[in-house]
Amino acid sequence: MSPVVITLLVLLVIGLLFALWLMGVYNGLVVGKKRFENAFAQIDVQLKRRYELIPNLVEAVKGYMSHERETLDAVIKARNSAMMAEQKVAASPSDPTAMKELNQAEAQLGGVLGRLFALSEAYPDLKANQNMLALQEELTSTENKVTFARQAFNDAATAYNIRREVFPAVMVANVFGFMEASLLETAEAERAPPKVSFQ
Amino acid sequence: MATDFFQQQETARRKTFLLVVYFILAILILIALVYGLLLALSIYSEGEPVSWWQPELLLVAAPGVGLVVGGASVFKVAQLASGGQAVALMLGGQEIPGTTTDARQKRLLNIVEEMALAAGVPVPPVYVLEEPSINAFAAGYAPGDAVIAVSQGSLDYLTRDELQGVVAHEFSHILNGDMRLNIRLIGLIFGLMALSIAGRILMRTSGVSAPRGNDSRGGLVMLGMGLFVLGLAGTFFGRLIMAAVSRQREYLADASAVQFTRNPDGIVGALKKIGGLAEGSRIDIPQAAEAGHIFFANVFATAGLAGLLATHPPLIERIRRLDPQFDGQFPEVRKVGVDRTGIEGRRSNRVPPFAGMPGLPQVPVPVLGFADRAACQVGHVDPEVISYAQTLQDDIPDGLRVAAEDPFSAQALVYALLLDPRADLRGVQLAQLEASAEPPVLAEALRLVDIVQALPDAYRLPLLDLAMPALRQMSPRQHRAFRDKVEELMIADQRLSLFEYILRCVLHRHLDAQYMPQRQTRSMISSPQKLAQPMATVLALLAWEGQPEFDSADRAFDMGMRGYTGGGNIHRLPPREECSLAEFDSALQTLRQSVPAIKQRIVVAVAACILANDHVTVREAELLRAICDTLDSPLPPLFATETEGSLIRKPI
Repeated sequence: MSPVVITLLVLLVIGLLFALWLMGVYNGLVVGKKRFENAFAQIDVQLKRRYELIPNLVEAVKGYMSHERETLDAVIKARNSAMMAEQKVAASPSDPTAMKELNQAEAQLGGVLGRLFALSEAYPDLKANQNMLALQEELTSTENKVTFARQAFNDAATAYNIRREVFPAVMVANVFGFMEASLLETAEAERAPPKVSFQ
Repeated sequence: MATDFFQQQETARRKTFLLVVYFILAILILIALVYGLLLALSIYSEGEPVSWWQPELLLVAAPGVGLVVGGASVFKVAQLASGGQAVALMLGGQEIPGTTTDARQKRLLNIVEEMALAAGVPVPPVYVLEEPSINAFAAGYAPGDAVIAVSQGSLDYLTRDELQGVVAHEFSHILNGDMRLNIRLIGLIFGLMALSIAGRILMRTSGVSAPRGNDSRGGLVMLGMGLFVLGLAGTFFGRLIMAAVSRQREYLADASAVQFTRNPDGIVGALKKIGGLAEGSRIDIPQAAEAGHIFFANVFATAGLAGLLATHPPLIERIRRLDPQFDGQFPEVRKVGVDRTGIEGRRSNRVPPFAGMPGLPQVPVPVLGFADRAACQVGHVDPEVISYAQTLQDDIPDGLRVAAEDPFSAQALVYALLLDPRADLRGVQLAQLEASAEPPVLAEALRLVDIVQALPDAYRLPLLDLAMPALRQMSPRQHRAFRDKVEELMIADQRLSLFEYILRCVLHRHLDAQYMPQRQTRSMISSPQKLAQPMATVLALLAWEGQPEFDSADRAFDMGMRGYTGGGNIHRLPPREECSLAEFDSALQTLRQSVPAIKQRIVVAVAACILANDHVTVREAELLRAICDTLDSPLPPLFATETEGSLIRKPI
């Protein structure tokens, strides 16, 4: 057997192993992507729950805060646009533009909700209202769940991004169109840490 | 059809051996074929007849094939090392969050929860596959890291009973040790198919960017084509192995599904609907090729010759085995509506509480007879226990059930379980949590702590089982933080209580499997004498836990040892001070490495020891559960049943 053939065969085996490696990297990227998309489903449920709660909240405060019409409208408006943005992300969690919109809409919503709560401080009757208290507690609890799920999502997305960015996986990722995952940011404005008492 | 869990484990182990034999055979044949191909090529390139025997060609063919097939297999298995979750993701599964509001998904989650509680395993995470056909699979290494996936078509077309039949079939795979076998099979089959994939890539790339010189280029393309064809041969062997290994197991799982639900109509209905549905059970993703055997029904076309290689027995045959009257007419299939009963299931009468619950009259039970039965119950599900699991679900307060569905609240729930009822100790624990945990989690734990501690002790482990899928949704970083905090809370009072130990056992076994994939321990020890000492250590603690007086404890210990040896006992019960949890734990880890036949004796011994005084306390029941769990021998909850007017205790 000629040396040429032998060289060819050696090259062949190397080629095969390379192909396997390629498949491995590819599958790894698929699983990583799937993982953060799955993590979004967890946030999805809680965000939806929150969007459901907000109209109830507005309904509950309406009677007391009739002078704050503008704020209430702003809350509903921000809630609606956040809901739209969320639906887009839920359809494809790896789409960076949709995620950007959601981040903006959520920041907006957080801002107006914060304003609403600040304003409600001025209405003692409202602060004592059982319905309002229950809603507020549920919103806080949902918010906590969102925060935790968001952490998990961001961890999964970061893990995927790291996996995607290292050389030589980045070449595979670019060839097969694995885009960088965008993170879900926190809307800081809205959340003062809940008070905890140990009594 | 009686199926013995330990027998099945043994069979699965033997099948693994058979699998390796088939695999090596397939590799040898492939090497011979590649040798033939190279010979043909060298005749083609040299242009003159050469001898049939060319060692140097074999020197290329053998390591080449070995490297590619073996490398690919090892590679794939490594990829799936993190267990069931990796398989589900690879096959495109979307996890159903516990908090889902979709009625069909909720229905599925409830069915899985009931079945898991009834089998005594942690509730597995459930995935949906975006396929319009009816199919499902279970994957993992052990019951503790299993996942279940169901196609969207199954959710849409199957009634609750039918879906329950399918889930029961999958649970049979989980409980019978089929899953570990299946994951290995995925690896091997991928290896055998790798040649074909490599050949295809070679044909493509050499067509585009071949080295100069037409000869070598033509040679490469031909080699690529040859390899592609040989790869098809590899795929053929792979399918053949799949068929040989998995068909019998499918009949068994079908039979178990009937046994678990005592309702042949469920699984038969599901099988008939597969026949009646245009999409059948087809799964159209490329990855399904190497994983066809893990599914509920065939994922490939099975017409004509392909039927010989089908991973599953023919549909009609499967149905006839369960329903001999079947006329071969498949029904027309429509989407089903889901109402409240569909989601929650028909609640039958309340089932009596399980052993260890307060208020149970004490009656003598023929001890070893019972203990033997306990071993028979391992890995089984009984319809009565499913009803019991529903009772359990009803009894756990809504607040806790909801908390167990979401990762954030689920971790707070575990903290709440660990918080000490004594004010001073709890103060220490809270101070520690405050230093390291986020305030919202703390607040949540404090919100839950009163409800959790009002819960009867017997519900604590089932509650933890229910929380398991949510806990498994944490990211690795979150899990690390959680694990650290759990440790801190446990050692806050400077000693590990029995419940803390058990909780740690369950958490570590089932969460670490996912987050810190480790080498699977292999069942190797087959000599009962070698394990007598660790067995004695385990029984000693158990005996002291059941009764404080030396005489009765010694009797329980002796009963246990006799149960283990099946005859006499030379070991004596050590004094209570000498029985530490640390030693208990290391003894248990040793016992874990035993072969199924020994595990069976261990379960008998443990049950005999616990039942020596005809009274099962919650702590004993929990310990029993932890021991069986560590041995990967899931034991259904023990509970009392009424028979012939008097209460006797039996595991159902």
